[in-house]
Amino acid sequence: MRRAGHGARALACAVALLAPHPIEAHAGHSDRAPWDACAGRASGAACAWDDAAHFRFVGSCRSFSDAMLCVRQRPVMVPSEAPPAPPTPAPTAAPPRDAPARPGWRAYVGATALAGAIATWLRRRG
Amino acid sequence: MRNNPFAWSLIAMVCGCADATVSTSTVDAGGARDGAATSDAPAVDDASPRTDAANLPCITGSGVEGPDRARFDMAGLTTPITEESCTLSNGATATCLRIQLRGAPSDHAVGPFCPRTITDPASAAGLWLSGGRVYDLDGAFVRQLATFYSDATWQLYDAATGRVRVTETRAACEAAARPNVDPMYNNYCVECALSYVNGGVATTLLIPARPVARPAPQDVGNMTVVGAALNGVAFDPPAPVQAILAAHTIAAFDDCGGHVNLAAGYHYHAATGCSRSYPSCDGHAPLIGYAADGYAIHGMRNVDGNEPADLDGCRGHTDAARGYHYHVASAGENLFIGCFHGYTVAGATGMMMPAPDGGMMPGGTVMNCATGQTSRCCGDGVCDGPENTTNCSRDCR
Repeated sequence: MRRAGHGARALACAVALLAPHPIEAHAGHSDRAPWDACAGRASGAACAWDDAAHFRFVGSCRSFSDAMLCVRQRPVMVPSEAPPAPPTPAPTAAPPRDAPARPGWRAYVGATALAGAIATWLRRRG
Repeated sequence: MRNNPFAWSLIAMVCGCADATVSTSTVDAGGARDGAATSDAPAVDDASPRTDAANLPCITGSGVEGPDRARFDMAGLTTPITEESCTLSNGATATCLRIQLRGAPSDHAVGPFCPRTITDPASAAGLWLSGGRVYDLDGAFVRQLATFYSDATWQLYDAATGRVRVTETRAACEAAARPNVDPMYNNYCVECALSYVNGGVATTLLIPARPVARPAPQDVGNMTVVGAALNGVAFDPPAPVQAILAAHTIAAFDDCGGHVNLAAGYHYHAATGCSRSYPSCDGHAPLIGYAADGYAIHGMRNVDGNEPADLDGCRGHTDAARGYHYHVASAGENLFIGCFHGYTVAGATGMMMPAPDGGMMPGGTVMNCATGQTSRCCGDGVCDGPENTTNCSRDCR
């Protein structure tokens, strides 16, 4: 019984630790964001990108070394004052490397709820 | 997760995992220098230089545009600034200033860049600029890079010893600091010593003595330098980071936002407040340098900590005291100006000196390449041409 409890506990630990969680969403963290914001856009086009904490950088696209970069013109906007981002064109380059790893909040809630449920179950049994 | 102690507590409770709290601190240790990664503070660090750094007097603008040669620190120049005739990119003849930068800062030390172990504190290393933020490139940051970038390939250190893999020689620097990183140096923290370039790469900048506005802005494009700091260091444009990150290398910056490569020597990629600056008597952001089109470059924020809200796409605006001038972006944006409001010198791609092989190369070093060889493409000072898009992708197109 005790061994089974340890096994379940280990399973719960693994589920909770291995599941995608918001640090990986911080993962939205990308050096490419200001470049990706101008993918497929012309010089001078309006652009915007958000950093990992959802602060918004609004400006216009400018060319550097044959790539377009979103150059901020306005003071950084805190999340509460940021308007909806302009539509993003279809990406012309590979998607950001970290994009697939970015979890939604559902993944976070799900993993946490599962861990909690298993913990409760373990306490009741043990 | 980092910001959710409940979640960590829950996991720790279930697992009895002491590591859970360790992980939390690990992540936090890699937090943004401005605290943004550990809170919801604004993502912009203060890029306005310390106005009291050198106790320089404040300046009152007269509305006259163009570089004031007296603002440069002569210790940062190889020769005094001179005037000469030049041709602007619109074909017009103009008077330009020839500014010969020493290529080493006159007012601060260079480095440190990479930490040596994963326990090194921030004081033992420099910075990393990423996604609009400034991070201390300390040992803890290196340790959690795989998490930071959500890419398990990141492993800049020896897990057994905790030692960070750093380019420790000139050859390693040369192989790792180029766009097509030698695979041998994947997963390295890249740094180059100023001694590799004999203390600095002297470079020459020709800029209009009186800026001439263009009808429409000019993109920086392939220009390798956008301006000069008053302490004799070049302002470089941002580089697309895909190639650098694809090789899992960190091209470390020092705390002043600069680093060294063999082609350009020491140069800035961000304004962190280290370099010579003149405060503005009216409280405007301080003067820190001049752009290649001759317009002044100021810090980001005024004395009240505010950034102008009326900047154009080049990050410039006009007022009565200074005429047109630029304001640098925040250090985390890895950017100074967005484009050129005025004409640059015709054919200028950066600050280059004529080389005897018929090409151009960064400042003063004399090359004597054999027939058929060139050092011009990357300006890397290596007679190994002809360089092409494979071996010199940065500027051979």
